[in-house]
Amino acid sequence: MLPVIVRRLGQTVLVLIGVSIIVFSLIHITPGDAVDVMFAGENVSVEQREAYRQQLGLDQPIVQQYFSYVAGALQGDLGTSIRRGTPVTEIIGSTIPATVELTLAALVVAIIIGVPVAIISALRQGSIWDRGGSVVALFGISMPSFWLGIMLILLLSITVSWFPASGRLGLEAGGLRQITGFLLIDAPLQGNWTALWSGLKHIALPALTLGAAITATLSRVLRSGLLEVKRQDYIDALRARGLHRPRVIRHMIRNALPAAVIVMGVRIGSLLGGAIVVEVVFGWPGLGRLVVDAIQNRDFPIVQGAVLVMALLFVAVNFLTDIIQAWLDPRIKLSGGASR
Amino acid sequence: MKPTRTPTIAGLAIVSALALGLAACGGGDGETFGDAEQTGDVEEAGEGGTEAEAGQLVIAQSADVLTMDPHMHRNRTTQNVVHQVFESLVNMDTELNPVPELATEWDQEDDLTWRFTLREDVTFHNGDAFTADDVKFSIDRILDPEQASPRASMLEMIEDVEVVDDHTVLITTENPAPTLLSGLAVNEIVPADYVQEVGDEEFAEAPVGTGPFTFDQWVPNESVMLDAYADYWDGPPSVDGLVFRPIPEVSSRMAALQSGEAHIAAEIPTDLTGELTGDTEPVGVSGTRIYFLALNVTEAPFDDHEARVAANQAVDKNALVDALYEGNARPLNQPAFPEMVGYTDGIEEYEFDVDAASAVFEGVDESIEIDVIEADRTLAEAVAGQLQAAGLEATVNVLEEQAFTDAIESGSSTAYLSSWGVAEGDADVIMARHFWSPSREGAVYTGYTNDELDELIVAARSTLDQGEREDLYAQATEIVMDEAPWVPLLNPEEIYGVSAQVQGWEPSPIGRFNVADVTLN
Repeated sequence: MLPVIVRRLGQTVLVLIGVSIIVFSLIHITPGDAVDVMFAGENVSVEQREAYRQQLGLDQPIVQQYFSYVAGALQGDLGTSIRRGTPVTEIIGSTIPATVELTLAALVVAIIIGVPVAIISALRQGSIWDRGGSVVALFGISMPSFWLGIMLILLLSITVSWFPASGRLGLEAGGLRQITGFLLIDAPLQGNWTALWSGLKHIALPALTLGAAITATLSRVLRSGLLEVKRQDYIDALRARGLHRPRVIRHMIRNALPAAVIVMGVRIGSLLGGAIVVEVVFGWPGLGRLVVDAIQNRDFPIVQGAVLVMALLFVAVNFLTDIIQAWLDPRIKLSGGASR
Repeated sequence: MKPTRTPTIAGLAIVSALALGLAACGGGDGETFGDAEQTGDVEEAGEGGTEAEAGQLVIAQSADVLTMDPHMHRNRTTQNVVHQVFESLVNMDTELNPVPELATEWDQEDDLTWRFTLREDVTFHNGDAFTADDVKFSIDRILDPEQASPRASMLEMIEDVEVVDDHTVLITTENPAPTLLSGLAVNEIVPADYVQEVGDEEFAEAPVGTGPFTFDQWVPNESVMLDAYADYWDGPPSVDGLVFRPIPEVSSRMAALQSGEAHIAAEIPTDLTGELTGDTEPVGVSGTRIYFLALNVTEAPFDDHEARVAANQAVDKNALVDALYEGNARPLNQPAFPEMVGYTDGIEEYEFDVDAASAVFEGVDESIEIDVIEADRTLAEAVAGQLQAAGLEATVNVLEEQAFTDAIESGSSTAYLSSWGVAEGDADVIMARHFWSPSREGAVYTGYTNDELDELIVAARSTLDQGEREDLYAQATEIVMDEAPWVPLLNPEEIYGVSAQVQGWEPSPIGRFNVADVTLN
């Protein structure tokens, strides 16, 4: 196990170097820099802009900028935000919990909805339930999240006002101190039940929006896995032995799960990406929205740092998927190879 | 053989638990990457409680603040927030005239020297008295190259700030500076002793000003919370607290207003005002933005004066106002709006005349592309349609914002549609930037220059006699409209969505939220 982890870490470093070079190059190909954007449409002369660039160190050659960036990054210093003047690590650190919390909530939504739908569809293959499940899954996969988000807001926030339209915590929760940064953990830790309730209400719609596609994927993949297992001889054998139906289903799930977990693992990565859209629609204070803002403002240090962190999260999720998969299916041995 | 009990459901639970493990990972990242303590500190202050909620006014803007240090940003949404905590020497009223804020009066000793008398009964939120030293410190701080304040260029006309006594300062300028007051209006005063004592970083985290609201907490991308300042010199504000929430997506911002999560929503597009019904209504205020079509005078077809005049005749501004802005805009017949210093009444304007324009465009073989950013696409398409109706082959070319800026600054645009904000309310902003030859070095724009115009612009910049300046700008405007490098289009209102709960609020043309007298019912 240990050599595997070491080798994986080595690969992660390579990925991060690659990502940092690509992001750095892309950023410098895009027209304009932070100073241009900051003074766009204002009476600031070219000399003043140049002088300001010098003050910020943006006049250095790109290669030199890259190496001083890497030198800083190795010491855990991702630079200073051009627009905000505060350290990038601090800004990114404060947004990670919100994004991870949202991603996990979407996953929970997927499991709560996707697993039962898959089971019912598989057991009653071809029934109205199965077909209904297919339609819902198709809907979930095809809906663009910005549209779905706005529709949910219109319906559930404005028309019936069950859920808030944006933000992460309502004002009624008062001051909630940050301990872990995860609102749904910090609130019960401090016994602030108003905040917990408010947090749950705030996360519901974004999580549903973000989770829609992955819910559909999960239910379809798990359904086909279950159908495959259902035809296996040992299931018949279990039935023949007179096992209760729920217990047979458990066996089926256990055997259909590994395939679903792989697919889910890959999809969690896309959840991190999908969070960008959902965070903008719901005013969610996470990493995705930070990146969008930073790109618009050409705040390069934040963009670089945030993409690195996202890459790191992606790699971590892949690795975790492998471990879970190996644990679920003893036939799979963890190898140092790629994440399959 | 009894089959072993395989806990599948428990398995699922473990999957979730592992996922939570990942969450812990993320949390770990957050702490090593970020300074969790700092966020904690900031949040700790917020002991709002439910009872305060009744009096909290919530304003939704399109973007978060960049910093709470009033000198370290160049961003209007940020200033809207910091100006609740900090104040300037002067403020601008709804007609864009300078009015007293921290200075009670000012006069000029000579063309270069201004004497400001400061308000005496003012304290900063930490109890320090506000004095002339704070004024000198603040202006010096903005102008200090070491500080690298993005606001420095707004006050670059200032040569020196001299403290005469506790409540008098003398500001000297390099040249006569008619825009000094508008520059001072957008630059706030910070407490000298406090800033020096705690340093820049801590000052940004725990800002202390003289404004009607004190800083409570800032949760990035979520909210900035402010409390009423009981000892405010003009009496405490009517609401207990003020909350700014950043909601970038406009439909979400309107949704927050309609679901009661926000009381005021800023930056509502004019074509969506019809959506604000029931307990919310759109409230407009004359804006400070000038939309125009710019014509490159160095290349065909607009190197021909007749073609530029024809473009001016071909555009029906009233139709644009009605169709795209539902009447919430004013058509412009010159590169200025009526509240601006330098707006010329009774100017000879181009009448909308398709036939006259067609007669000219008949002889034009070239087709044109109007460069534009996505936000202005609709307006550009409407203008292109009107030009086409007059026989000029015109299409719209949408560019990413920075690519657009590059194109117009390098002069490679044949024509472009854009807007320019004139919050200062002074024609110098437009004239010196767009029609003055020295500015062409950094930004070509239309490439238009005129020696006589240059002289008028310089003369208007260097005199403080407002009557004389109006006169000079009237001449300058006449030249610009005669030679027609621009088709001035319109000046849209700024629209806010306002909840029926809000009483006594009036939007300001420069976007500031004057909420001292606002009540909630």
